[in-house]
Amino acid sequence: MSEVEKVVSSIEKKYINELLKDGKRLDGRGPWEYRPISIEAGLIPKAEGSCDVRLGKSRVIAGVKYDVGSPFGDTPDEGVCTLMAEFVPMASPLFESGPPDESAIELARVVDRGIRHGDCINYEKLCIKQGKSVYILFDDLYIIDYTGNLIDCASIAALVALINTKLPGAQWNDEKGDAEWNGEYWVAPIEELPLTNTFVKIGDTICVDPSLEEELIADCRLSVCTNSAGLVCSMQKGGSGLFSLDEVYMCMNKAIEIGNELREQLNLWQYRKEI
Amino acid sequence: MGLLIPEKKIEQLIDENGIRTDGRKVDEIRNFKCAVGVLENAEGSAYVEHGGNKIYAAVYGPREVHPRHMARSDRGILKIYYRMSTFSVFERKSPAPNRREQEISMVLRTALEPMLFLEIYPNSAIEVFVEVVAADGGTRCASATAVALALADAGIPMRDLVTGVAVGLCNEQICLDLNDFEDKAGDADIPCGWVVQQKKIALLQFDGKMTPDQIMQAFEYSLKGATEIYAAQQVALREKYEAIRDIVNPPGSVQRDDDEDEGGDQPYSQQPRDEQRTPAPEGQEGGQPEDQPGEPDGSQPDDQGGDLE
Amino acid sequence: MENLLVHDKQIVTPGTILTTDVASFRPGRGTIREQDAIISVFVGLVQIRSRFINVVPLNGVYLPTVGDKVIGIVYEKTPIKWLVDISSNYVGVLRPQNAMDREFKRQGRGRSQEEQEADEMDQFQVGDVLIAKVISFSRTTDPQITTLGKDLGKVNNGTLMSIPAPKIPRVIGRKGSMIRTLMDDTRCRIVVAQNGRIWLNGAPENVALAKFIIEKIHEEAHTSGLTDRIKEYIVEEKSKRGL
Repeated sequence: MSEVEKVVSSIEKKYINELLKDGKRLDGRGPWEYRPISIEAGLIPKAEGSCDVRLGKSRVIAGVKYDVGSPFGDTPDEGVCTLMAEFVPMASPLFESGPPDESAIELARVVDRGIRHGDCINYEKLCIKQGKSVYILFDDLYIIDYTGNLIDCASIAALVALINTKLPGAQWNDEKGDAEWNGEYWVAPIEELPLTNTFVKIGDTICVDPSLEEELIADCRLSVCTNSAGLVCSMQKGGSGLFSLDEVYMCMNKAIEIGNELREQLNLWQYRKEI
Repeated sequence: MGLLIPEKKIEQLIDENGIRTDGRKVDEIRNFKCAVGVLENAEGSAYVEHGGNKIYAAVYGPREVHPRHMARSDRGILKIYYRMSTFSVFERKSPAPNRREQEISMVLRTALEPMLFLEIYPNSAIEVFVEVVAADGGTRCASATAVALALADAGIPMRDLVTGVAVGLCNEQICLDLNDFEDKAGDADIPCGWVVQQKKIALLQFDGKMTPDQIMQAFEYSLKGATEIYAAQQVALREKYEAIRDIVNPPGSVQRDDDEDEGGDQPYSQQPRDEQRTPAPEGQEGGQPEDQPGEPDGSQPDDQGGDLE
Repeated sequence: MENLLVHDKQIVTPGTILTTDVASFRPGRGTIREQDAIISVFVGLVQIRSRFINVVPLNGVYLPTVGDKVIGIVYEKTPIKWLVDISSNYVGVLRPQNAMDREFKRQGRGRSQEEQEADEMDQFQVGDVLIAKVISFSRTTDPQITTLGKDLGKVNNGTLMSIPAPKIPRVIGRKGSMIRTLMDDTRCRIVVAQNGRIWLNGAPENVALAKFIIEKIHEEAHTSGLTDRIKEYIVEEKSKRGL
């Protein structure tokens, strides 16, 4: 049953703010605590890799498909991975049907940047023949339930789908001038685990993994993607409030800490397929 | 360029023992599983696994119509948005909606409309979103099954459910519930949506070449398959509640006399309605709900101790 | 009762034939007569009351009924009325003549009629939560609501939750017994509205407890012995939470 209303009520804003002043959140969590995360991988038979991720009751189903094509001119020895996100209207009465709106586009780009700069995919291993033929991976995300913090849920889903990806092996056939199947399979070259942590600022309080109500009343949010080397790989501020530099510094360090805790807790390499 | 391994196709769909590519006989349906109430926000929702099909359906409504000019003042409108995920099929499907999806959306709508009482929802819309995350032949039929479940789960009054299953012709034999290979390589494909108890057809399409007599025989197979699936739909709708009841009211346990436990004054006990309520529309074939279905109790509970600041 | 195909409190689905004995039984709410049978139109509980067979739905969007208490959230304000989200496909319409915030009234003492009227639309803003009553409704026009009356008006504190409207009678209980138990045992102020919304106020840990218990009522609304079981749950939870 949806608790989403057209407009967040003034008493809810007041209630959440009062709780936060006491260091409490609506659902009883601490400020740096995530809602329960559950992951199921490999559930889509025709996808090369797939997963179904729940963060609280937010839910994203991700699937990876591949194609073989020409590389980009400026990176002739690298494969490509593109990411798309669809905010399926079934996820929330707030979503309308139609082409991706700015939130969907922002989410896809934020998650994409995290993966791209997190050293996650070894693009060179996706090259079949320099300048001529590379793997193109499509990591497509479908949001089917929205109860806050889709960015983090999508970030996990996008990553697990890639880890879960098994591709047919390719070799270059000079005579045909084309790539062909070498008879074997291999797992996608995923080498790092970039994860995004989203913080919201409500009044003077900052907390991680906003629930739906927290997200709707937040003044602004900061999503920080880190990898296991302790490096910040991407950031995005959203919403029309302001962050002080101290706050940004705190969030970045919290993200490194929480990112590592999540990597430990989720053990994402287990979703790799056996060959 | 393109995919390294082409899509597997099978020509010999039935072997000499009458066994199909997935081990079934010609008159058997594939594995079928379903559940309702699977999503958090939608009023009603369903998940169906039929063969390798994995389909979510979610209902919002009745709710306001957007865009406003589409609203009808005499009745509600049913809108179905059928979409397939990019990774649901062998070769990645473009994320943009295509004509096939639009056609199936329409076919699903005309299949479910007769089951609803749209005249009780003027100026409102009931919207159903269908997402096929994995496809395996017969997706529109499995979607019809899922949509019916989601509408019922949402508490929208319905005359009955619709149950989908396709039937076709493979290597000259009538086969029930075509899988992906049969769908693609077979000689005919007949998606059907049944109102099982009435033995009537709500959804029907046909591709191929068959004689009318063959088609009538195919319908028999199809109805038989639909009957099994219909039973599973009913179980899923009840199970959501029966599971809880079985835990807290185990059979044989002693309960306080239930009349003492009823909430409120009996909300649904007596006719006639009081005149402030709009009378339900009359006189159509098959009957209208005698009273507005789903109306909550109008009588006020005593004394909640109103507390305002 | 031998001509019935179902028993009281049985869970049925749309299309289920409840009886073919149309001479002995009449179709009640949640059912229709189709030729020689009475069938259910809902997933719901069979309820047999003398000759009437009803099916009580277990889910559904709120349908306004005159006299209902509703909790609404103002989502739009025009120069002449407020549009209030009452958790329905129908929008609640509140006109100034049906609205009087008691704070506004209190401040207005000593002002002229014209001055008061000029500021009427300042009473409620977008986002305000109102406890109101439905005063008129037909299927082709939006329901008119009022905040004039005992225990009606804007709330300034507390929090909201929602459950499906058909389950609200269970939260109220026979003659208000369930809601009284809830309020007494959780030490919260609670207002339950017919449109599925519930307002709560109290110490945060008590409110969290009350919300948890109301969710339990929602989940088990269709079962028997609920009142006693809820009392047990409250005791259990209080002990778990150290309350």
